[in-house]
Amino acid sequence: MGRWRYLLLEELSGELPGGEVFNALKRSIVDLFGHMGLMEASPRLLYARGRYSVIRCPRGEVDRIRASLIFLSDGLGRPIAARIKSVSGTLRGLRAAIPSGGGAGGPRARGEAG
Amino acid sequence: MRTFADLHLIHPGHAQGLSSMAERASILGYGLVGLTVRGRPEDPESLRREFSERGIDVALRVDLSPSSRQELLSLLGKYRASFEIVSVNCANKAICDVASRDGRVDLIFFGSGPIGSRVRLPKEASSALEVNIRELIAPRGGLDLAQALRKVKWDLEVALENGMRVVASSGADGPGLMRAPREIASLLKFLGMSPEGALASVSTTPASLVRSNRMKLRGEIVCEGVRALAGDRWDG
Repeated sequence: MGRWRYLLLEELSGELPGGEVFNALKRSIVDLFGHMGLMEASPRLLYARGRYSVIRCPRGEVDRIRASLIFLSDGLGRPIAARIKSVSGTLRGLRAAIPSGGGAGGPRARGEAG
Repeated sequence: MRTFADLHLIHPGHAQGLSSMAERASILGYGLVGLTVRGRPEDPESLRREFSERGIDVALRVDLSPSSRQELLSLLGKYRASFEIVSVNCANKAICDVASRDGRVDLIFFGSGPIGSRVRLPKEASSALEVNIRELIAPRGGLDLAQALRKVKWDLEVALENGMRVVASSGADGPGLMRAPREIASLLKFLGMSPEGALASVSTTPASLVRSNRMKLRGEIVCEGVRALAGDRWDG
């Protein structure tokens, strides 16, 4: 089992692009668990296109990310709906879950040709 | 495969909104929803169709908000036979005591009442406690997130101490407040539930509640623990 989990996030309201969702997620983690929680969850944005984004977090922190997703909000405090569409132990495994458009241009796993 | 359930969706009052909620429920992976309609629904089949077209089972639900014990008993007599789920908003201890013991009540929940009055649930409670995520996403009654979380944690502690079943629902009246079941379960884990209990609260617990209620409404359950079998078939 790897050290990381790769999560495919889908924003459902169609209001925020994937990169902004990641920023909203970090705000939400701080709101719920504080800065120590953010440090432990240490999410990292690997890829964002349209309403999808791929983030990486330590294996034991997926629940913290999931719980924080409930409280996502935009900059004005309005609730934003998003979900984790897929979770994988490898980036390569997650690529299959990214809808068309995110496949060829999607995140590259280590060792893949550019 | 696990079937996820959200037993508390509130009819937004217009067909377009209901359709959006059905679509969102499908995306989020729900297989069963409870739909609150105000009063008796005029055309329950059309409500069910909106969800069943997307492979989602619908249980019709009524939320009772009585102000006294007498009113609660009167409302239960009026609505129990018409709805698959009957829930009670416990505004005070007297209502909570009656609602949690009355076998006709499926779910009790604490709305946006004042914090600080920790209601003690009776040990022999027959109904399940419902946690509405909406009360956390958009807290009402002037609560901030920390206060709302503390209130839910209290409720959960009391329920778990007393061996009550717990059901987690969105309480949403629009797609924007609906959340995925695994996300809800993850939050409940941080609020003190076991991983298995948290997942059950969005899947097996609500599903079994609806299943047994449907059997009761069809007359298959004579009383608690006694089931009428059709014909002379004996499965025992």
